[in-house]
Parts: sequence; structure tokens; C-alpha cells
Amino acid sequence: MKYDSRLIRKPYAQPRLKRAAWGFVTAAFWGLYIYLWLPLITLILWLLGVRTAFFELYTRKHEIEPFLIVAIPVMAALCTVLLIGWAEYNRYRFARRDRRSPQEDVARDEVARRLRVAPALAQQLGQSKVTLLHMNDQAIPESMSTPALTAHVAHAAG
Amino acid sequence: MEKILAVLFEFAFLYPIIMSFFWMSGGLYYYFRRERHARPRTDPPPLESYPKVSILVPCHNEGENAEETIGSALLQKYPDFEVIAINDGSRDNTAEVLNAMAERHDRLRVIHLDRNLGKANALRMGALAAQSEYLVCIDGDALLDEYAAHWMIWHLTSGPRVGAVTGNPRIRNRSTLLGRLQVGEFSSIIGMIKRAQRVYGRIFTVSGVISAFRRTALHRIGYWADDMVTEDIDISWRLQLDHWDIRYEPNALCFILMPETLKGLWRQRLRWAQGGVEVLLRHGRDFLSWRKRRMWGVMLEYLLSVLWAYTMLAIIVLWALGKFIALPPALYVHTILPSWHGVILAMVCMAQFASSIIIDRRYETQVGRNYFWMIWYPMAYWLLSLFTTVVALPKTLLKRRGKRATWVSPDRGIR
Repeated sequence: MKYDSRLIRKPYAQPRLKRAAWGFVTAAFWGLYIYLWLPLITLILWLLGVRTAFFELYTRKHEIEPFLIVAIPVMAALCTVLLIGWAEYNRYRFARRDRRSPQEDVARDEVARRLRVAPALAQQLGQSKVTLLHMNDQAIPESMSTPALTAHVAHAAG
Repeated sequence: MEKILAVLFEFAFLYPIIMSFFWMSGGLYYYFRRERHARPRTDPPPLESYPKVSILVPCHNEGENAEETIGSALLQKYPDFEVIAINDGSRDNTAEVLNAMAERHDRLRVIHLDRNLGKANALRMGALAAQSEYLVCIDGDALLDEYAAHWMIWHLTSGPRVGAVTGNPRIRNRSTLLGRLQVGEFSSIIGMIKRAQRVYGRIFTVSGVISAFRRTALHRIGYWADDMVTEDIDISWRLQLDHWDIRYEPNALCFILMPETLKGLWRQRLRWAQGGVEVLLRHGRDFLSWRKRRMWGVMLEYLLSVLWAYTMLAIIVLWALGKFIALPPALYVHTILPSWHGVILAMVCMAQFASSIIIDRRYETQVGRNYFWMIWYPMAYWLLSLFTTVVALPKTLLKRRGKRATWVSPDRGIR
């Protein structure tokens, strides 16, 4: 492992403004650095036919599809207003008002009845530490036994 | 006809973008409203009382993982809990591993089923054996964070309406590109969808790998169904149709293994897509009542996603056909290159990545690094969702009804 616990890396210990400022400085220098490569980038782009693409997309039609410029931000705003408005409305309407009254916790016997398990077997299962359930084809336990702790259950299944 | 094609094109382009707007606004709203100034993960809110919790871990052929999974479940920082491992007819050494652990740990209980009956039945037996009203369910290869149970029980005890809580799965295996992509996917897509759906008020599904339930709520709806491909989607819909609230708790972390091969990923996602179609077919009619109107949004989103998959397929097929045979002009698709629309897609994708970094850095350090690798993933995500949905619909329609779903050995990546 390369991790060395002696190194101290706590960038979040600095004030946020300071971190952000250094981030901007680094980004600006990245821009400057890329600018140094501009002649080569221009050459490659020209070789790749970008000039032609630029001409096709921009200069010939002299336009960008207005739908994309206007409609997309409007859609984004609508989605946001709709969802947050709905959330805040519900918050206002239902905060501190519970329309469901508390229910009694279901007892094990009822669980057993719903799962079609004999109540005595369910009670025994509830107190067991390690147990082997013998299931029928309807996935209902019919009996239980305590396996020898080293036994392989797959063998017990046959 | 041309108009219809134009509408289809617009729908194919706008649907992912509009969904992304909803996810971003919902995700950020949730974060700023509920997470940003909330207590840290390691300091969950104190409870009035600390009811007993039962952690259910269904295991099928988990001999390799059981020690680690059960071990981390046993490390919960919660005063009163039990761990119930349900060995669902494993054919490997799961039984021996669990039995040996049970001898060492007082809190661990083990139930062996004498045959493989599937996750739903294993969970049913776990719910029957549990000594608690509150059930935390995790998969047999998932490592539960030590504060997870506390965070989930906090929701369940906060009001009588809360029937279930879903947690925040994090991917452990990150060796391959597919692993790293899914790290990004879970934060930029899945985590944000969960938050946005929570803001809306209803969620599509709990994460089967980590969720907690009130047993009374499960009892009312008849527990997990054993004939559904994905029992988690089904139980989420049934709980919400019975007017139970499902909460999302991002602090309830759980570390999971995901497929790292294309075949494994395809099989897993196809299963998810089948699960969605299956619940739609089974419960679709239940939604028609006015009392179930809160679920309409979830159902509409899902229906649109299926419609989108087939729309995209139609466009691609028409475009390909046009290359070989003469189609009527109304049906001829000139190009599927997005041009300016592509720029918009790219911008929305960047915005979504940025939003997810804002949210997710609270839970993981250096989460942004994965985004270098996943720049093409949104496209892969939508394509994967397209093809799995297209295949899942006929596959589900042809599936024999009532057939019990049993375990399939998943691909768990490089260990």
C-alpha cells in the first residue's frame, strides 16, 4: 500500500474562500498553459476538418437553433419549480400532521398465521439459536431440528 | 407521418434531459434542505428509546463472504440488536461458516433452510424468527456500516407512517473500468434519483441490498413475494400502494460488490429491467384508483422510460433500414448524429456530474476522480437501459406466472 499515515492532507482545514481562490488561480494558469499549445492545437483541428465543421454549423446558417438556447433553460426552470414547489407544498401541508394512526406491533402468532406456519413452531423458531427448518414444496416450514454445529446442511437436504 | 417522426425525435432527445433536470433539482434540493447541515454519519440522532433491531442476512452460497458480512453486521453501534443469518440451502460451506460464527457470537442466530427457496422465502423465515418489530435486511455479500442500523431505526421510530427505509449502497470493487463506472453511476444517477423521488414523495424501489422495514407494514401487505424477479421493487410498490411512507437515508451506508464483466452487468441490469416490467404488469391496474394518485408520478416515469426505449429502438432501426432500402421520405431518418443537440446533452451531463460531486463528497473522499473514467457512461447508461428494457418486456410477458424466483450466482467482480 502506498498510503503513508505520516503525510498530512487536510485541504478542507483551510477557509473555503482561500481554497476557492487557489482553485481559480490554478484554473487560470491551466488556461495560460493551454494557450501555449494553441498553434499546435489549431493545426491539428484544421487537419481534422474543424474549420469545415465550424463553417457548416455557424457561418453558413449564421444561427444557432433558438429553441435550444431558450427552451432548454425554461424547461430546467420549470422542472425545478414543479418538483420543489410540490415538495414545499407537501411540507407545509403535512408537517407535524400524521394521518396514519399508530398500529399495534404485529405478534409472532399473527405472523405465523399469515405465513401459514404452526404457531408452536413459530414460537420455537423465535427462541432458537441455530436451527434447521424442514420446508415443504410450498416453502412452508413443517418442522425444525437443531443441526450438529459442524454438519453440512446441503447434505441434510440430500 | 413526418410530424410523428419529429415528435418521436423530440421525445427521444428531451426525455433523458428532462429527467436529468428533475434528478438534479431534486438531488440538490434534498442535499441543501436535509443533508448539508445534518449530523455527521458517525453521530446519528439520539432516540427516545432504543427498540431491539433484527438484522436479517439471507445467504446462498456465501461461504467466501459470510464471515466478513456477518462480522460487519455484528459491529453495529446500537445498544440492542440481533443478527439472523438465513442459509437458503447453500451447497458450499456457508453452513459451517455460519455455525462456527454462531458459537462465537451471542447476538448471531442462524436458520438453515433445507433447500434453496429464494431470497423472498429466506426473508419471510427471517421475519418470522425475528424478535423485533424492526427488520434491517442486507444481502449476504454486503458490509453494513456500523451506524447504519441506528440511522434507519431513527426513521422507522419517527412516525407511524414510515413503513420502510432504504440506505445508500457504495461500491467496494473498483479495480476495473466497469467497477469505477458504477461508482460514478451510483452517485450521479442512482443516488440522485433516490433523492429526487424522495422529494417527490414516492420512490420507485428500495435498494434490496440495504433496507429496513416495519414488520407490521410487511404483515399488512403479505411480506415478500417469492415469484417476482426483483422482490425489492415489488415490495416497495405494494408498501406505497398501502400508503406506507418509504424514506431514503444516505447515511445508512452499505458496501457492496458489483459485476465487473460486461456479461455480469448485462445480466444484472436485465434482471432489474424485468423486475420493473413485472411489477408494472402485476400492479398496473391497482394504480387506477384516485386514492393511489401519489404513485402516478412513479408509474408515469416508468412508463415513459419503457416508451423511450422503444422510441429509440424505432429511430435506430429506421435509420439503419434507410441505409439499405428505399424508405418513404416520411420514414427516412437522415442522421442520428446529435449536432447541437449533442452539445446540450454534454452540458446537461456535466451539470449532473457536478451536482453529484457536490452531494456525494459528504460520503466519500475523492469521489470526483471516478468522473474522469465515466465521461461516456451516461451514454452507456441510457443505451444499457434501452436494450435491457427492450429485451425485458417480451421476456417478462412470456414468463410463466407464479414461478418461484431462486438465486442466481452474480458476478462480483475482482476481489
